Amino acid sequence: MKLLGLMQDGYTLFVKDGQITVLYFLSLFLLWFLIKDKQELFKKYATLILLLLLFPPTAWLLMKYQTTFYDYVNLWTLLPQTAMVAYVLTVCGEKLAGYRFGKTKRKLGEGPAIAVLAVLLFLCGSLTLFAHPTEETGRYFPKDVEEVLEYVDTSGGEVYLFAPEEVAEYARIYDGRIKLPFGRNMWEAALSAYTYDTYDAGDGEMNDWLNGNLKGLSETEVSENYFSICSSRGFDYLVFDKERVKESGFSAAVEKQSDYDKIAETGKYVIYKRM
Amino acid sequence: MQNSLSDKLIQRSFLAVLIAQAFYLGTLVLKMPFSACAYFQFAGLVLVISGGILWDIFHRNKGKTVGGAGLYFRQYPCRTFLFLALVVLQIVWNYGAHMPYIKGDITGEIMQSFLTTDQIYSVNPMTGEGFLTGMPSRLKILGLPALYASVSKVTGLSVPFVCYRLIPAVVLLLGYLSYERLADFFFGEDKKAKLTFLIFVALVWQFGSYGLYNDSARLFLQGWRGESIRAVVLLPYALNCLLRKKYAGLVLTAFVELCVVWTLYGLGFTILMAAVFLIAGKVVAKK
Repeated sequence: MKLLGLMQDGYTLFVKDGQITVLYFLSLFLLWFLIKDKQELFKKYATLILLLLLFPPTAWLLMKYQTTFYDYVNLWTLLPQTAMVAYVLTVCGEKLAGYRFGKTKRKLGEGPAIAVLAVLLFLCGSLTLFAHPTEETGRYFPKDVEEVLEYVDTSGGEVYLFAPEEVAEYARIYDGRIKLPFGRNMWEAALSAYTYDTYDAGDGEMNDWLNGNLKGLSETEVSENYFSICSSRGFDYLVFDKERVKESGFSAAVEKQSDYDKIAETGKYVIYKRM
Repeated sequence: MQNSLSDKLIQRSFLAVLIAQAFYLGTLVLKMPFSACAYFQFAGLVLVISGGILWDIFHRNKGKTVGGAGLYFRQYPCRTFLFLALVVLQIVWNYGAHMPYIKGDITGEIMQSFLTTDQIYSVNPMTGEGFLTGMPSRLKILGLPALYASVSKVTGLSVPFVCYRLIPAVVLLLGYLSYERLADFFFGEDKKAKLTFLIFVALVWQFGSYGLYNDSARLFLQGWRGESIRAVVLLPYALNCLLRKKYAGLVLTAFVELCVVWTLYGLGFTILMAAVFLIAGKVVAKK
């Protein structure tokens, strides 16, 4: 049952937002039953690999083969989906172009035939990319994040930055001299495969504090303590969400601490530097 | 034997990756600075390009080089223009107008770590601090991030540009070259059908990027990753080699896959595809 569950999840991930795979099935059907074609080997490979992916015992074997580091959905890369769909559409396009209409006997023509098939393709797919932010056109980093990172001065060498997750995840791509106390693998489990290093509960709590997710404790007392820890660990820059700084308990702790000075404020964040 | 321009470009790119991997492993084992790796890899790239040109000069009468966009343009200007326009649009739209999708990937951090420390994996790429317990050797031996970092070091181009713009665009073009080889197998001398096939490939990629695990979504969102290269370049090229029974090309592809993606001790998808193909071939033979 677990295997079937894994297969179902993987297949859903592969097809959930579009139906190009349906065109693959349709293409196979056309190749087997309607189109007289010479590409026997391609057709049989395309069919066999599909069956191997769909039949649970063979899917299980394939999952073992590709090691446990990859999920079932990755196996669908083996399906020659692009080649099959493009090939059958090309063959169909040629046939469609020669199609004669009613009494006029005029041929549809190649251009309109390609256009019709392109529309079919579009209806099975999507114009938008999966989960891709377009509002940040042409940027490498989100604007809010880049504004913060511009204040981190690395001209003198490596510096330690403790920032919210959405800033930290871009910091080391922005500049390799920026060091972080916790890596992205702390909040992005898939990245744990890149290192054997792990974090203890204390690290998790500290990260939660910075991100404003540590609830149920006296904010002022806890924050004072964490400011002191940040200083003793040598963090050069601290970044907080603007809304977080406005919280009364937290702002009281900021007033009380003397290790960090506010150096800048952007649209979304407040930046403190160790004096 | 006919040598197509696409074949040459693909195989030489593969050769460049293999040479880069050899230099990377040498640097890793000998614990040399990363800059040594970068310059060795650059020298390897120069060697592949100059060697390829010399090879072409000395063998120009032995094999006929076919292909080239000019020939297509003269015969089918509209289709060729449409196809090239789609490719340019994809490069501009997907790599120029979108932010990189970095979830599940730390290539950018690895590149910056190599360049900043001038060492290979001396620090945890995600934090910049020394490893407490280390990282898996199976990932350490993959040379792709080092190759990208070398490009950045030698050319002076920024890490984000190389990783998120330049490399995916190169992978996209190599992907089209792989599909051009398939088109050539399917339609032979019928250039019109080949162009139509490539136009449909471009459209399948453009409209089919709705889920992260589709070939084109991998290509457009994370085109620098080994899995993307495997999906859009290596496997279509392996399929082409299998259909044409060009086993040297298949072996080359399998080795490149070993360099760019973690496989079961070298038994990657290329080998698996070959095995399934062998079975499918037996079925065809029995018919």
